[in-house]
Amino acid sequence: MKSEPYIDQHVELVARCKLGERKAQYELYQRYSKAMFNVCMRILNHFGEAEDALQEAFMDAFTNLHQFRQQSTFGAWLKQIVVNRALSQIRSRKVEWVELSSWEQNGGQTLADYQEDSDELDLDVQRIQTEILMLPDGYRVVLSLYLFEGYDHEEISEVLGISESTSRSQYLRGKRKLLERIGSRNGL
Amino acid sequence: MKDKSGKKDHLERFVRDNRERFDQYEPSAQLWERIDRALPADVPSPNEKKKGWMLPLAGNWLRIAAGLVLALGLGMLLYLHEGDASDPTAQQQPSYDQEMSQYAQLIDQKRDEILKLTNHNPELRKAFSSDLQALEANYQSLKQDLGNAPNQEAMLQAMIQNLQWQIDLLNQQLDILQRFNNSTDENNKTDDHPAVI
Repeated sequence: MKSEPYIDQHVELVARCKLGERKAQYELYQRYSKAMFNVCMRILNHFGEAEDALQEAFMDAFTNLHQFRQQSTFGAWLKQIVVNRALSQIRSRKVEWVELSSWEQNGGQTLADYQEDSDELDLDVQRIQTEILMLPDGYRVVLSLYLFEGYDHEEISEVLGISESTSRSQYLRGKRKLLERIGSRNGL
Repeated sequence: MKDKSGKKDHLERFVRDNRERFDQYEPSAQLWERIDRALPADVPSPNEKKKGWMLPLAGNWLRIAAGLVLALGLGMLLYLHEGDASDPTAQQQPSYDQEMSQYAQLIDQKRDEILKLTNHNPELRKAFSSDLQALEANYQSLKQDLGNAPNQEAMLQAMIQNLQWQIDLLNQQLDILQRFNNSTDENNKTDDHPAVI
């Protein structure tokens, strides 16, 4: 996120929001809504649901702003809320997580295999964007948290309530699937 | 967050390097309206509209005044401690009594005036009186200590100083109120009452 390096950037704005000032809330919304909406879109892959999640996340954030103690940036704090909101929404879809053991037994490749895979590909933003949204929920969620939101597998295991190894396997499978799709479109 | 083992593959590097370009979607313009409606009513904005530019200004002035009071209070404490040993025999002099009762009278007058002017503005009245309270509390504790203080004169001077600050503060509050009333009357006669600070 663009605003993260500037730790004190929104201190005053946040303070005004804590007092319930609507104008300040709108300013924060304007600064963060786009980035946060894309977080929701990548997790939910549904415009209406992403908007619902974003609305609830901002409501949560404004209502619980007194709990924000400037220990992280406001953006990081908000993103946690957004991710949690989007995840609780997608949980109602009953996503299935693939356990690593069953995945390796099925002849899964190692991380190194994928690194080689993707090195051969000519990547572009639009293609990745499109193909990620075509992935099944379980792959897409882990992939987007890891690739786009900077979560590691430990953090993903926590927010999703799965094991770290499941997160890893899900990520590897999701990535392979993604690269396959991109590769087939590229004629590889 | 992520381990920096340098194990990023082509895809991971590509996403990292182009991260912002991936944020392509935008929520609809109506989403803020939905949030706006669902949030509890805007708290300070109505005040802001009624009081225009005055309230933030008054807030700043009061903050400055409060800071001044604090700094001077600390200075006074130091002053009293230094003066402790100097003249233990000083007596409470009648001239001080007179001076103090004059100040007290002035303070009462100004407070009445402020009460009148803040009749329709209880919030401002509360803010003003709470600022004065700090000084008053300070004055009362000085008064209590007066009996035991080895340096009576320094103590009395401190009390008088305190009363003067109270008057200064009240003057500033009056000035703010007058400016405020002028601005709400849409009379820009604020030059009649130049700022105290």
